[in-house]
Amino acid sequence: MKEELASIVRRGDTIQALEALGRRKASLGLRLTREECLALAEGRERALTDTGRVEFGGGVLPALAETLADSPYLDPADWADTLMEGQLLFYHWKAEAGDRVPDRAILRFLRKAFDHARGAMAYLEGFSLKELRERMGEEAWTMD
Amino acid sequence: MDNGLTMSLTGEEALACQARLWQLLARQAERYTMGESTSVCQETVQVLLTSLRLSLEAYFREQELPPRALLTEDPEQLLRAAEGTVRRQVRRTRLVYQRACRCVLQEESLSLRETLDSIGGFFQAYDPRFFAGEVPCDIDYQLSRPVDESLRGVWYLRAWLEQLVTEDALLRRFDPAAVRRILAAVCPEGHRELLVNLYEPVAAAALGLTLTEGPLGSLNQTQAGWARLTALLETPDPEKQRRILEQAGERLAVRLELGQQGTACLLACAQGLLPRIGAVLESGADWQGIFPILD
Repeated sequence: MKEELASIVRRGDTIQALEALGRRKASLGLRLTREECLALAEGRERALTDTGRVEFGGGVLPALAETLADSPYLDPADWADTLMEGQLLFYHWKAEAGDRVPDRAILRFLRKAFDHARGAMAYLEGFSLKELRERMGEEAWTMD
Repeated sequence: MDNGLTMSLTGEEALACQARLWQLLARQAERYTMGESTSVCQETVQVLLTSLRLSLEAYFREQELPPRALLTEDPEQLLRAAEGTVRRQVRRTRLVYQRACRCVLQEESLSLRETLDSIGGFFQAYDPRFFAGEVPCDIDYQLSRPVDESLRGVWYLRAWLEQLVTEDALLRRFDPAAVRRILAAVCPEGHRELLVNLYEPVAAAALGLTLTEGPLGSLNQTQAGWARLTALLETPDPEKQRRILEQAGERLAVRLELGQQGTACLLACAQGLLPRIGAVLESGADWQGIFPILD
């Protein structure tokens, strides 16, 4: 069953979505090479396996990129690394929050935390979602 | 993915069916998260997949459609139709439940009362859209024989309730006072609070009286009856013993005018007595635990 579920994660869909994203964000200086797209797709598969999750379609990366793209703390030179660390964090937090918490609620918090940490994604990795939300004085999840 | 949906298909068709099933699963996951989440945990996907598979299989069975209908029918329509099949099954199961709630002698079993009470909650808690394979209630009461364990969700519950109603049909043939005496005799520790099946001791007593040609209504054995049972069943040939019980089961089923299910249940019960009969014969032929003499 695990192998079957893993097969749902289609690398081609992710790469296609990332290349489209790269074209949209090129004007902001946020470019991804083919190798970086491939590495991100592989990173997504690892993150999903690590967190025991299954994702259908292209995944959360396009939405993650949209969420972080206009952060004043984003260094375009670190774009691929930021996305890689961000998606890992996202899936861990998603697993912790549960299926019923919308992606956009987690993405909104991830953006807030990213800005709070002044762009230091690695700093955020040291916290569970619960710890970080308490530290940042977050209330219950808002679903809108 | 090896299941009834892809059986009897060519390799190519099976692959296409599998791809369609994943497509439907993705749609179900999207509906489940209300489009708010691109991912779900593996356990949830497994449950959603089981639910989808069971619903589709039930729909295909109901409409007598071949598995390749998975490829030819519109996916959205297929999901709706399969869900409709499950909902119809829930409605039919509710009718069986209403019959089960009229089972006699419920006061003789706490676990039966609690189980029926809990099953009442099933109809509120059951989710035919996403969790058709689940049974959201506690079933503690022990039937005389277990329901097919490959059944899931509402299909399991319906089979369980039908078996209960079948068992009840036999109990209704006897005087409740005699049934109570039998239960008290075979379970002196107190049958009301223990997980004791009500049917099996009564069926066994009735089978014993059929073997000895004693008066059935009282469910009461006699010393002479015990001697006759020993003479009849004390044989080194287990196959002969099995046949004797089977024939008694058939005679009793006719006499009590049991239906097909009731007869099958009684014959299974008769077969289930064989190891206990063997043990009694080996240890001195005290039949009180199976064919009791009532005070």
